[in-house]
Amino acid sequence: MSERDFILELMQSTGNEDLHYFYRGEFTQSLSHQILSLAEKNIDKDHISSKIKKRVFHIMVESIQNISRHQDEPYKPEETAIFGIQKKSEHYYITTGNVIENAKTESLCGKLDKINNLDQEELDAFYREVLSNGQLSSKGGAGLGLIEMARKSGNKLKYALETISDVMSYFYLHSSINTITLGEAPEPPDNSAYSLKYMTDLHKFIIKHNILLIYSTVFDQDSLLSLIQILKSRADTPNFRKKTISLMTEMLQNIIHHGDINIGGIKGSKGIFYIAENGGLNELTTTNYIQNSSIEKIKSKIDYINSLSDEEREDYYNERLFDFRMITTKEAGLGFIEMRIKSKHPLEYSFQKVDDEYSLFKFTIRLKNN
Amino acid sequence: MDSLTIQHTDETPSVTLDKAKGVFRIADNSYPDDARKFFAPVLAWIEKYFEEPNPETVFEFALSYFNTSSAKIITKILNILKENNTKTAVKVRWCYEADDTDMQKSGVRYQQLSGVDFEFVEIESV
Repeated sequence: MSERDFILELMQSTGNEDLHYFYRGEFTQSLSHQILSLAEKNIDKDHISSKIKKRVFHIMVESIQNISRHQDEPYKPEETAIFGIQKKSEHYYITTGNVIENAKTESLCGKLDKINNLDQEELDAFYREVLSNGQLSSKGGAGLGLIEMARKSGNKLKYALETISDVMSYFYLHSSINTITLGEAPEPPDNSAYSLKYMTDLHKFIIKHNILLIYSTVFDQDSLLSLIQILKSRADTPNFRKKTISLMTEMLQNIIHHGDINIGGIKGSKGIFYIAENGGLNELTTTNYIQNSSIEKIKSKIDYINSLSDEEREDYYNERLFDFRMITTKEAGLGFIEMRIKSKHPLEYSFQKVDDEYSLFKFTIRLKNN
Repeated sequence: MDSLTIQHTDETPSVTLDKAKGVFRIADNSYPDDARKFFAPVLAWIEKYFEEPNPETVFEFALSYFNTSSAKIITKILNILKENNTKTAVKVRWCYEADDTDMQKSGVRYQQLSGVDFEFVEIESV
């Protein structure tokens, strides 16, 4: 996938029917909590019964616990864990990925194969058996999590392994949940093979571009606040953390205010936010839909800000900061200039036409991490 | 006059405006989606306070983060302080966390543009 195709595909697939949420990064306990809370907020907005929501949430919890249980430390960047949820044709697909020692893959896959061979009744019996045996592994798992995921999802657990080295592999675990209860309607088509492939491809792209954290969703103030909590829980230096939080806030509030669209079933401020590392600099990137009619205005605004000298930039900022005519709208009119000053690097952007009404707007801020 | 106290949330700051105790303070974080809405009662209180202010007014900002929409509100507050400079001895105490050069710089900017007396205080954590 070229970058152009990837961003386009990712954006177009973030409709109500598809990718909800994708996270790649650390999975400490406090981060896991934030990741779950962010995912929960996402699911909450869907029009499905609370019974299904609970089931999805339950499986998310088990999946994330599974990551911390099976993840072997320490990790290289390409070994960081991932978590993703997709919704497609009346299914939720939950994918996690983490590294695992090759020595442990056989036993794990054996366990999964065994679980997948059991029907619901047999799973219940197996669950009780493991529970009463109480053999806990060193990290607290007894295979119960996996059995529970199979029981709750009502579907087989898919998995995939990618060999990293002689000692390590990357392990993907994929579960699907029907949003339509059996008997209510015909069984919806199962896209889980496609979904798992999509997630593994996405993961490869993310590794290739050194993306440390990526988040794709409908942005609103709630999701911004959860993301801020995630950045606060990360192991960055205080100064860098503050800068990234400030910059991300401006970027996402821009999308929340201006990126509200209604296109092909996608409603709201759909967008992607990611942090990558590139040539010694950190990059914060957002991509969102904008109306074609706004392109010229945004272009000329950013070009103007980029063209200013340091001194001119300060004057321009001050002038706008003390201009009270602009206080009548939600936005302060300071976003881009603030980002330029704080990041100390030119702002980068590109547009890609989608149709007669909309284009994709990709916007990147570079900054030093120190 | 009644004091105005607002507890902080994930997105809005804590506000303490107390004429009797002489405490005027905005602290923690401020990045609401719509800062005007949140700060409307705060600005109203400050306007009313200056109808009959204390002889001395030290207004304290101790923020860890604020968005540009909040930046405009801070300007607005500083403007009110400036306008009432003759009625009461006005001073701004600008607190910033150690090493937070961005926050310190913001304070210096406000100091230069507002024409109000500033005192800078480095603190461990807001």
